[in-house]
Amino acid sequence: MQDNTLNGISILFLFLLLIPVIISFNPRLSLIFSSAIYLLLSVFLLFSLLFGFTKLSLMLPFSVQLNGLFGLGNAANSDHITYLTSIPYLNFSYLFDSLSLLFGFLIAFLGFIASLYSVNYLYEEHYKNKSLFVILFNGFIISMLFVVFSANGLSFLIFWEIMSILSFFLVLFEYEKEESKKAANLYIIMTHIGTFFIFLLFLYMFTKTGSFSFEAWKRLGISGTLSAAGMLTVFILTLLGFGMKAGIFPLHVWLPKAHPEAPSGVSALMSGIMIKTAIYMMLRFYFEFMKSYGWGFGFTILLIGAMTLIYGVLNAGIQDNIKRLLAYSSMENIGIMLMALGLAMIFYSQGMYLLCAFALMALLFHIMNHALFKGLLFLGSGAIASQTHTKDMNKLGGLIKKMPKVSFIFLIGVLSAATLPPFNGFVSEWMIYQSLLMASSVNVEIIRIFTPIFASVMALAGGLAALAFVKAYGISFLGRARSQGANNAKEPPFLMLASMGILAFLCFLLGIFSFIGLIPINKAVKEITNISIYKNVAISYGSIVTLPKYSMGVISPIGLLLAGIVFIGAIYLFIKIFGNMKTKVFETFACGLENKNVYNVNVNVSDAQLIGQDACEIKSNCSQYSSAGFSQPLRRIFSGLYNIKEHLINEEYKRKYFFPVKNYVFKAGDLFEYFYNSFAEKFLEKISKLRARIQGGVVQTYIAYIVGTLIILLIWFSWFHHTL
Amino acid sequence: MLNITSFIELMGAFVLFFAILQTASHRVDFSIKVYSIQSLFLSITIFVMGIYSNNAELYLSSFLTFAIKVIAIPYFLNKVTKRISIREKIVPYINMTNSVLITGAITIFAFFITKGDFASHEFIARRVFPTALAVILIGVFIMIARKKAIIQIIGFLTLDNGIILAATSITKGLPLVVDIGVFFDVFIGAIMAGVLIYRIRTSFDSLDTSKMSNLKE
Repeated sequence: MQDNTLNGISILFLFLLLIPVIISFNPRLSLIFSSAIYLLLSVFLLFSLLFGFTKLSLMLPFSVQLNGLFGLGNAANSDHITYLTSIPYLNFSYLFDSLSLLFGFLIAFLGFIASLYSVNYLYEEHYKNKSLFVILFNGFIISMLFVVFSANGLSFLIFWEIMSILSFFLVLFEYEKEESKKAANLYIIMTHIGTFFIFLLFLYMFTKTGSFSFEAWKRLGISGTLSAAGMLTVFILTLLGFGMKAGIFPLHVWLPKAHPEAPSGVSALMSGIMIKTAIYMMLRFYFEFMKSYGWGFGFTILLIGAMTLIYGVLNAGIQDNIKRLLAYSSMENIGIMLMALGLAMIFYSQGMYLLCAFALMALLFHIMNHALFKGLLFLGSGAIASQTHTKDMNKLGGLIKKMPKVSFIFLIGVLSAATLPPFNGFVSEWMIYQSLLMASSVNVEIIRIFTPIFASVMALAGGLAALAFVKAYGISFLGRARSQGANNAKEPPFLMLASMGILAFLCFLLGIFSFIGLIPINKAVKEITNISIYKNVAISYGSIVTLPKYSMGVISPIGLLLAGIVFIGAIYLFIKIFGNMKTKVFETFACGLENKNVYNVNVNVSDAQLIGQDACEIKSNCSQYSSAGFSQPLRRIFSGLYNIKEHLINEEYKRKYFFPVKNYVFKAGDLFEYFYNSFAEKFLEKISKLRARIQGGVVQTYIAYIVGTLIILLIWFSWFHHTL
Repeated sequence: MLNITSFIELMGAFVLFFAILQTASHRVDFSIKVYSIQSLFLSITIFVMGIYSNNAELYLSSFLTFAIKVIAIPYFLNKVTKRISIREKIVPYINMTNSVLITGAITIFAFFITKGDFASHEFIARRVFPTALAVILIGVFIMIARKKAIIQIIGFLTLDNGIILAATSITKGLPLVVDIGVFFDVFIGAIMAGVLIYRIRTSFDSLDTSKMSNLKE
């Protein structure tokens, strides 16, 4: 076997990963250092993905010396690393195949961005325990890396738990806030329920194979000895266990609560990549550990994906908290990914490997794209929150003038997330859409019937996502400042801008030269399906995404961009030639009137009243179109799907009729959280009544229960078993 | 004829006798004394078993019983009772007369359920095992039927004596490591319980565990 083989470079990285934790007493230095390490690591992982892990580690300079340094000699020629321990079944073994390398690359890269961002962000937000943050943050990234590289059930569970617990502490990072505590509690409870199902799943696999190693499970998959009932068990347990982490439809409750509460760098990581580790494990289970299942599994996932999608996007539309809006949008994207996964499974079960490879490629590409643009958006929202000290969109506004760079970068993220053409979100969602349309060629009646429905659901969701992001951008960046904080906002420091800029650039790059992103993904897809689809997808001009055999989808992102440029240029010229191009600059919302007094009543007041004037101005600015107002149509149309509390409260009772001061209170809760809560309330009430009857609080009764049991057992024993 | 087996059984019977006497005790210091004497008989039983089966580990076990249960724990319990000055009488849920009657029933029950060919392998003393079982059940009965926390501890210690008697009678002595572990466990348990009693006393002004149900909600 390949026990105890590993190469020097991996060990070197392990040592390097420890350094940020060691020098955490200086958070700034530590974060700069860790960002450098993650950059190196991501480059290493990307290259080893492209050129092969074992080959690359030998190709690099000094690698032979490094192997010699750690006493490894020439043993380092395997992509499988195992450390044996003295505890039975617990081996720390790691697998560096294309799929795990792809995810590892994404984690390392996003870790690089997030730590670069946090260098300044930590000091902007004035957190108290900066060193603690550094330790938790690095531990979180490292544990995610170990999760995707683990090739043993038990060691996977260990790192999975570390990942969950560290992210729990990061959600709880601002522990004085009641919101954070509630969110963190919900998160830890739900994630542990998920882990419970994962544990059951792994135990089930253990009973079938007698081993916790993924190798053995893979062999089980190839041999196909798992019965139909066994497959159903595995399917349901994976759905419950990993679905909890991914935030699939009925299990999503923690996601929109926990993600906004973490520091922004961490929310970017959680939304960008942590929830996708669950998708990664689903891929492993559905394509490696299980084979030859029916189309039902894929269809179920497709259905759940569609529900997650529509539910997430509907809730994203009505949120006032910008980070919660982004979290619901993450849920929506998980839905899209699940739909792609379900499609891939359907094609896989029907033996249509080419289409399966295409759907998988779309899935992995969307994972990559979502990591980029959702990371960007969360970082951007963190930049807003750190400058304005609020996440409530009803208190933002007019930021485009205060922070033009952030607003430009954020716009790119918003356009990607709303899946508009020159950006990456569009390409991957288009690919998923294509594979959904191709599902009509599957020879199953039900799937053919449902395909147009799913397609229209996805189209609807796309529209609603655009609505949500128009709201996110329009309300917070356009118009006039609705609060003092938004009025005083400044551009964030350089590193925050730079890290967001990198992501924005990549969003643009992958939106146009999509084939660049598809090259590494092709490796992973090839490993799963044994089909190199890259040549089929990105033919000739390097930018055309298509699948010629099914002759439906041909798209050229570059062509789209050129068309867009030509179109906009034509419009510009048209206006230039035929229109009146005189530009005048007015106050926003001043209706083009040059006299400022028309809008601002109190403009000519003495300096002594300045503060009062500001407050007055802010108050009048609140009469702009607000976030709650923007989403009102959505709330009215889909009122059954929300749990909303709206009140108009009279602030002062006496002034009921003469200019009453009224306060509008709006709270958007999650409908399913409400369901769970009301269910738990009733259930727990019954349980606690029963408990109160049994547990009287008298010590003697407790002992009596024990004795009663003992005596019954003794009698039973002497009655039926006279000999030992 | 008093052969060695009957002697062991006699000593076992004394252990049972003092367990029954325990239920009839009205005062805490008397209870502690009874426990001490019971432990002494237990240690003699183990010692004789050691002679009978020629097992050196049983001598050590007997010595440990003597050191911990006859001397250390009663000394400690006496100290605790003096410190919190328990002068009140033992308050039972079930009064003394009925208690003694119930212990009789328990003893009969213990002999009744062990009447058959209970174990295939050989016993050192066949009738010690039902005796030990009776001691265990009486210990638990004391814990149930009395209100004062300190008597419940004594009930627990009685129970533990019963367990050790049963274990030695069935297995010709536990492995020494297990034995030492059990002794240590009981000793620490008694100390912990003593400290706990002190705490209960200071926070509730009484050792009556029925008052502890106030803690509920």
